[in-house]
Order: sequence, then C-alpha cells, then structure tokens
Amino acid sequence: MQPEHDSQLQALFAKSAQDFRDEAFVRAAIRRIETRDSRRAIARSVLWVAGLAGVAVISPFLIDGASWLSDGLDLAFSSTNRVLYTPVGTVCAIVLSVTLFAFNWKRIWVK
Amino acid sequence: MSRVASAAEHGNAAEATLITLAATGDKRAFEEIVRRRQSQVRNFMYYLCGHATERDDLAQQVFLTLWRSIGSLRSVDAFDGWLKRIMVTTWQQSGRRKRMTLADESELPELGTSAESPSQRLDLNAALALIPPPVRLCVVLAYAGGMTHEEIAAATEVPLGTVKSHILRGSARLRELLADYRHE
Repeated sequence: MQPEHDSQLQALFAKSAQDFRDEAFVRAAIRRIETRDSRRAIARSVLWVAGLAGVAVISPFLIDGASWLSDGLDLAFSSTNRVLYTPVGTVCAIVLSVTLFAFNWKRIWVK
Repeated sequence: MSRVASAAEHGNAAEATLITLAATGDKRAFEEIVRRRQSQVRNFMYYLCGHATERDDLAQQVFLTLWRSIGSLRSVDAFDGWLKRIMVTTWQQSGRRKRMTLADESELPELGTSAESPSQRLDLNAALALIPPPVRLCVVLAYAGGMTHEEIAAATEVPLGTVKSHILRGSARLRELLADYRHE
C-alpha cells in the first residue's frame, strides 16, 4: 500500500475486487483482435491493388510527362550552349562564376 | 498435439516470457496474458464505469490496443506501467466520447441532493458512481491500481497538485458515502 493512501479504503477496494477466470471473455477478446487483424489485412490488400491500378491508369500520362520534360530540358541545354559559345555569353558566365565564388568562398573552402 | 503442448507451456510460463513471445506476434502467448490480466483490467474498468457490459467492452479495447502496440514495448519491466497507461487512455477516450474531460473541476455532488440518501446502503461501486469521473479515475488508480500520486500524475497527464486534491476530496467523499455501509 502507498503511504499516502487511506488503509480502510485500500482494504475495501481489495475486498471488493473480483477474481475473474472467465474463458468467454478471453475468447471474445482474442476474437476481436483476430477480426481487427483480418480487416486490416483486407484493407492492406485493397490498398495495394488500388495502388497498382492507380499506377496503371496514370502511366500513359507519366510517359507523356516524362517525354515533355525531356524535350524541355533538351531545348534549355541547347539554348544555353548557344549563348555560352558567343563572346558576350562567355564573359557573362566568367563574371557570374567569379561573383558567386567571391560571395561563397568561405562556404566552399572552410568546413 | 503441438498446439495442446504449446498452450500448456504458455500456461506455465513466466509473464516475462509471455510478454517477450507476444511482442514477436505469438497470439497464444498473448491469450495467456489476457487470461492472467483480465481481473486487473476488468476490475479497474468496473470501478470507473459501473456497468458490466461497458466494463468488458473497454477491457477488450485495452487488450486490443495492447496487442497492436506490444511489439514496440522496449522492456518487459515496463509492461505493468504501460498496461495501466493504456487502461487510463482507453477510459479517457471513452470519456471524451461522452463529453467528459480530466480538466473538469466540477463540484462534488452534495450528500442528500442525489437520488441516494446517506442512510441508504451503498456499496463501493455505487459510491464511486457518485464521484465525478476525473476524481474517480485518480481514486481508482490510487486504491485499485496501487499507484503513487506521482505515477498517477504521469499516467493521467494531470498536474500533481490536482491529483493530490482529487484523491483527498475523492477519498473524503467515499468515506462519507460509505460510512453507513461500513457501520452496518
């Protein structure tokens, strides 16, 4: 018993506590657990199938998106290349690189 | 054959072994834990709710939560405190569904204003039913759970001062309500 507790009340609680040896309760609890587990397993399977179906449905759009992105990147790289190969473009690139390095050299060199 | 042997082995096993097995997903070991701990959980819930059907429903909910999370138990020694914590949380969640909060500082009902008069014989459960739920929870944790004020504060997330006050007021109210019953 905890020292701060009333001993009479403590005894009354101890006296009124029932000793349950109820197999029906144990079975019901386990059945409830099994029901929940099987529901979760079904939900997981449904989610998995739904995920697969979702990927199958959107895959044409994913392919279209990937080729659109690839075309866009090709265009961007070739435009940048063209600009960099001009004298003005080269000077601009060098100035930009030096400026960036000047402002960030500490971050680059010092750990 | 092996199933019977396994059940018998589980029946004789130490609780620490059962907890370790249940944490790895052994349902038969968990069944044995339910068998051994049902008195503790069902008595606790009965003191709090006072209805046999609700008691068993809440007790089963406790074991369901226990099964779901037993894999994350770090130490077998922590099992008892952890079970009590689940019992408290389950009760609080059921209370929240009934619009009841632990922070509720409602006044204790006055003697004579409720349906029961002091002269009526009251058993412990009837007396507990007359105490507000937050106070009842602290009293039950103290007397049925054998927990210290500090442990109750930690389990219920109620300030220590409030826990002490709840237990003091709740115990006084219980003594008052049970006075006639004790003398008879």
